[in-house]
Amino acid sequence: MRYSHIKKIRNFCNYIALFALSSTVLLPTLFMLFGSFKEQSEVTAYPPRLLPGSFTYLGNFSAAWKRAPFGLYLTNSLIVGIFTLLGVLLICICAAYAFSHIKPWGAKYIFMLFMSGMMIPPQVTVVPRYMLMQKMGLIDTHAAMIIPFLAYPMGIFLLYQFFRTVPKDLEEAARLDGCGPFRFLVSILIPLARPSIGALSILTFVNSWNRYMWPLIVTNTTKMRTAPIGIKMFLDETEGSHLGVMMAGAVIVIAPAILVFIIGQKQFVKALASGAVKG
Amino acid sequence: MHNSTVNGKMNFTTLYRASGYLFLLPALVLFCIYVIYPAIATLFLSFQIISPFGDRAIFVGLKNFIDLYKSVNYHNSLKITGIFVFWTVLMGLPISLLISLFLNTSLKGISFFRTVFFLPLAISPVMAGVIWVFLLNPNIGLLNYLLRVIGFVGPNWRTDPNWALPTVIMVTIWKQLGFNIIIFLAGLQNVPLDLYEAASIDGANSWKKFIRITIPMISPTILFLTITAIIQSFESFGSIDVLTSGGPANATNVLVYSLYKDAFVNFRTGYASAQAYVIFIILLLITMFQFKFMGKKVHYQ
Repeated sequence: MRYSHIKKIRNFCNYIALFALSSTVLLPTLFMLFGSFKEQSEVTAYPPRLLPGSFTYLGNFSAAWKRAPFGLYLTNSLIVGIFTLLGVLLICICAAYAFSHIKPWGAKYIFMLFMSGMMIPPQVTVVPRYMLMQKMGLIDTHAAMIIPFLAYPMGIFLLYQFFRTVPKDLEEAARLDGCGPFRFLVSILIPLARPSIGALSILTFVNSWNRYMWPLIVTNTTKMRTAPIGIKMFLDETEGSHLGVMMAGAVIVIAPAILVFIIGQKQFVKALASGAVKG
Repeated sequence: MHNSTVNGKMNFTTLYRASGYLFLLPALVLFCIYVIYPAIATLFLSFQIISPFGDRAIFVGLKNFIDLYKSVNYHNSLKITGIFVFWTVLMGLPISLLISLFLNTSLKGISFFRTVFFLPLAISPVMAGVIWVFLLNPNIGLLNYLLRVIGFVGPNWRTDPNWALPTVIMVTIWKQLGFNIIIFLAGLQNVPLDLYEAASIDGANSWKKFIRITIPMISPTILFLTITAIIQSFESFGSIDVLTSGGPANATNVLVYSLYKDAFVNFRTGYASAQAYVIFIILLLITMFQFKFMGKKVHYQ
């Protein structure tokens, strides 16, 4: 009797704490989201209010959409993300398979080379990489934002970790039935590794979607800007003007990521926990 | 007859193993061009002075490094990076752990709260910066209003030289919450429940249980998160670019931002390359520390 009483009080306190903490964490996002529905008079009203008068005022969104090509920014991010993803999958699956099953001579050393590459921070390579892009004439193209990230050591490592749990005997048995290495990879290994490939896909896409410094450096026209660059430029260009419009622009760019996250939360969390995410 | 089958098998094995190179080729070529070559090239560039358009280069030995050593600005960047990383990790991890403790229950609706705290994970550093720009606005932002209600005068967060760095620290802590909490939760869920039961029988209170059981049991998680948080904070760029652009008066000009500015705004390629190697060495030391002390104790996921 007394115990259950204590438990109830404790649960209640826990709820209060969780509610207070989660409101604090959500506050910045909600302030922006609600602000995007406020009319100019509400935005500048004092004292400021969290909630807008109504959620039906969409003037900020149409104004933001007119001032900057957000559709184009999001499309660019999508193009870069999808092609990076496809390239990473193709290249990392092949490499991981070579390391886990085929093991050509010296594979161990090549593997170590890749793994040591994981320790080279991108800031160290950024200057010569940019000069390379200049020489190849790839500045301000989608390719410049895709190609440098295709050989992704973390991806090779993740897939290798799974592939090597598939016994080599299985491949030898398959070979006796006339199944060559390529067919073994496509019709046996890849289907088995679907969860790992899924996690790698999410990781690769999110990293690409979030990437900032590199696209900022290698693009210089509006038509090539990705979403993060687009929103930063939009804020710079509209600084000091109508804040409701700025918030609406930010919501347009951020909302897709949040929606996708809420829908696929479980897979998302698993994938991101399996390999640290970078911005 | 016997011999020829062996030869046939040998040939197949040879061919098979050789085919491995074909599978490795694309990864290896791209890796060499975009990681290995630039890493080495940066070292060579760091010994040179290069004209802004890259058409002329002079070998100057260690001059760039000596300039860095003498530069007041660079010392400032080192100091600011240290302060930034230190406070981000020292405040970020305990806050994340506290929230994780509250989340580590089977209360009704707990999954809703988890989603809320994981949300910063879906938001990139740049977007985190953007989100906070509005809340921190000195005129219309809610934060300064709330501060005034409780009797404080809120600063100009992003443009006050004394407040810019704390602002960036606050946003970075917020951004890292999602990842930290996920990993902490996984760690907490691995602590065997019977340890707590045994301690309860011995009459230990919650605080004692936390200090004597929880903390030691999740120490590998704490170490892992400390290292990741250090590296992630160290590499911060996007949120700083949005919030303060390294300013005001270099107050948030962390090492990575300084590198970016010298390489792509001031076009001092050699000088920036030297900075890249300083960053590399610092990160390498942190990583080596990680390998030495963590060994195989840390379980990912």
